[in-house]
Amino acid sequence: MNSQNSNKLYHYAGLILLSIASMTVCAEDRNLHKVEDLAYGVSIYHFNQGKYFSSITDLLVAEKNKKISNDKQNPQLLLGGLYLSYGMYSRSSDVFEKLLENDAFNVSKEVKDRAWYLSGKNFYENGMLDEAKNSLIKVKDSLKANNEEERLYWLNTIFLRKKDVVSAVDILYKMQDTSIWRYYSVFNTATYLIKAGTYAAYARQLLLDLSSIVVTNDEEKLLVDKANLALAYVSLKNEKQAEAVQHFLKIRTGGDVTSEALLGLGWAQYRNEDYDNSITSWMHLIAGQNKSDLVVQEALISIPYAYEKKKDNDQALFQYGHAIKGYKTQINETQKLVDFINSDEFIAQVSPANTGDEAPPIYDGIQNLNPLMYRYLSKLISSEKFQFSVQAYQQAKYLRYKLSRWQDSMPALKMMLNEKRSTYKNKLVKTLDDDSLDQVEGLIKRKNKFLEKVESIENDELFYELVTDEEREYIKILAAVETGLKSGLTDDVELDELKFKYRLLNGLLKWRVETDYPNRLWKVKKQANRLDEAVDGLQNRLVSLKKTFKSAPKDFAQFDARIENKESEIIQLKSRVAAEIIKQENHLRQTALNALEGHRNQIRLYHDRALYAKARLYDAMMVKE
Amino acid sequence: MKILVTIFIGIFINVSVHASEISETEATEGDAKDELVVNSEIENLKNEILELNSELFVLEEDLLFSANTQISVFVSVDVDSLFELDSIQLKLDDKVVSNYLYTAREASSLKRGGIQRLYLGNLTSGEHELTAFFVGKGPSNRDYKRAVTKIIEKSESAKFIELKIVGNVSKEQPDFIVKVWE
Repeated sequence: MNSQNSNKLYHYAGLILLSIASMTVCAEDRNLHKVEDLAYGVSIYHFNQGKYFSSITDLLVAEKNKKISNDKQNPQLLLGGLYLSYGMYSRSSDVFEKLLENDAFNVSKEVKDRAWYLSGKNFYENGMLDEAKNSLIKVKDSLKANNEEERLYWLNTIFLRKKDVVSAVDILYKMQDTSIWRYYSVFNTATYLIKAGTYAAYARQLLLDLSSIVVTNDEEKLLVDKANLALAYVSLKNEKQAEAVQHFLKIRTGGDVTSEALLGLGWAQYRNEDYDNSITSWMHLIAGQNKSDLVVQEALISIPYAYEKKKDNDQALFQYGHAIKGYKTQINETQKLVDFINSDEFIAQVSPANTGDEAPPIYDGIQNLNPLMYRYLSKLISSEKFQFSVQAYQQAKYLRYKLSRWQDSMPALKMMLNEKRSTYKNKLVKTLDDDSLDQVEGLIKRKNKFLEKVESIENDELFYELVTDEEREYIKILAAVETGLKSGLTDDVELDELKFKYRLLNGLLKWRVETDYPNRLWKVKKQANRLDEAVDGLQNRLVSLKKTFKSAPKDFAQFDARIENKESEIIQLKSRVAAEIIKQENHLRQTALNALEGHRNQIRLYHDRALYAKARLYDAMMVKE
Repeated sequence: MKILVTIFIGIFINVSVHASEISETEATEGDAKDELVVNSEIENLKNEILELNSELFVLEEDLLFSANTQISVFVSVDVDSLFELDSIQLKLDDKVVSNYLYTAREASSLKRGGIQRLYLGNLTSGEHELTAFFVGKGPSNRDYKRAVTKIIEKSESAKFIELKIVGNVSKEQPDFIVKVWE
């Protein structure tokens, strides 16, 4: 692929990407809103990579599993945009309608505006112009500046398509002066008026304004070139050759419309009877541009006409001969291209390199196309329609891949279910029969008893229930001492001393037990809580086990039902996808052949004309002789 | 000669990309209905496959990762120039469960608000140690490797963990956070 074609291709690719990206602006700008649900974030992750199928699946699965709870609006907006990008216009429309008309969503003005805006584009894609207009008109004032300009651009386009020139023109005055969308709208409106043959002066003024904008990028430069080309055409049509020349000369050399400009320039000079310069312009065109371009082919036959006018018949004859030779080569080359398009190789080249790649870069396939395709069908290849067709074809192939994957997975899923069933039979039943479950029941009873005891200690302030082993020993000793003292085995003096010591020690012990009670009670309660949690965990597991035990057969039956018929459904869908793939292959072939046929017919026409002109010239020369 | 000029005019009309869209549409208005029927067939087919795909997706997940054992680990990035993610290694209880190398497209998608499900697996109830190693380019485009560890408690319900890479402007360093979703 030569660099010129490549640049052109990327230019158009940029336009297409721009339009797709703007379709689902909601996910593009992370500052616009915060991702509040993981499932929504996962969908955005796939969306950002152009994996619309996965992204939609993420949202559908999240909906089934009720995984989106924090943000209801934005996921719906994304879903609507995704359906739109994936060519599912009707679904997209349903989602937007639901979002806008369901009060439960409590939709903010910003979201509403974006939804109306995307919905309008959706209807437009579907060819429903009135509905598109109604949706776009409902947008209030919260769109970002660029989106607002784009909205007005679409409205202008709709009005032009509906031949409502006044409304279309009115839109132009609502747009920002330096917006690229306005430039497109101005150009579209002007060319529409020219083609319709109305408001010629106004159309010309629009083009003049456009041709004098301050350009800052390639897109604007191209628009200015096109405006000049259109102005030159209008001048040429009005027999104002000198004016046409001035407009043609403003067009850049090396731009996207240079060929057309040089051809037109030649014609303007020809009509001015400036044959030498017209030949120079056409020669320049032939030398510098793609030889297969129809514009160049037209220049080939135009040159001998100019020589004839100059009465230079020898040179005219030579140029006719040169043109005829060129046309024959072109006819042969295009035949080779016809054969290529009819071959399997053509389909192989537009197919993704890796069928499992959900979002293959469309341009990879196109870049590797047969060079003849670029030579003769560069306009088709770079057209939005053809690229969408290739993308649709690649999407269909991915669907087939996905279905095949599921088909291959079905035995594994069934095996997994059987494995679960046998695990249930062998292990779960055994586990439930196990003594350990009785032990759990015993533990629960003991725990409850312990908790009751702790409660009674706290309520009745039973300090001595929390004594340590050492203190318990002391208590026993003191009790024995007390008994001894009561029996009066010793003399009075010794007895009094012993009684005093007994009271002292008993008091100390009581003081220690009572003052440390809160601390001890807190520790015991902490232990009780831990025990409670641990036993609760055990209890939960027991409940869960029992639940599983009870529900397992029902779950298995549900799994069976969910798996059942899926295989046949997959097979049936696969056959429909296969038919769709064939349909799309034929469509791609036919589109390419139709475009080429137009080109071939034109060359044949030039060829016949050159043959006729040459014969006529010979005749004239013979008559003279 | 008029014929040639007409051809030239034809070429001019085809040159106007956006404008031609209008005339092309007019020319094919008659075919629009047929096209819509075809589109609706394709749309139905896509819709059925999407439905089936999501059903099977849920079925597979239910079958392989039941809620009481399921653990999902996600990755999100909210950092502009402080960190360029190259790869993540994820360990659960010192066992490597995932090694993921990011393509430029995936890394960019994360930066634009996407969240990746890095790992989906099964885990028994109780305490587990999760460790994630992040490899990439840090500030000033230097090689950067960081690890983050967290003890997680797996209960009877599905567990969702998010590994967040966020920019810390004051330190001019990325921060790596483990967030447990309730």
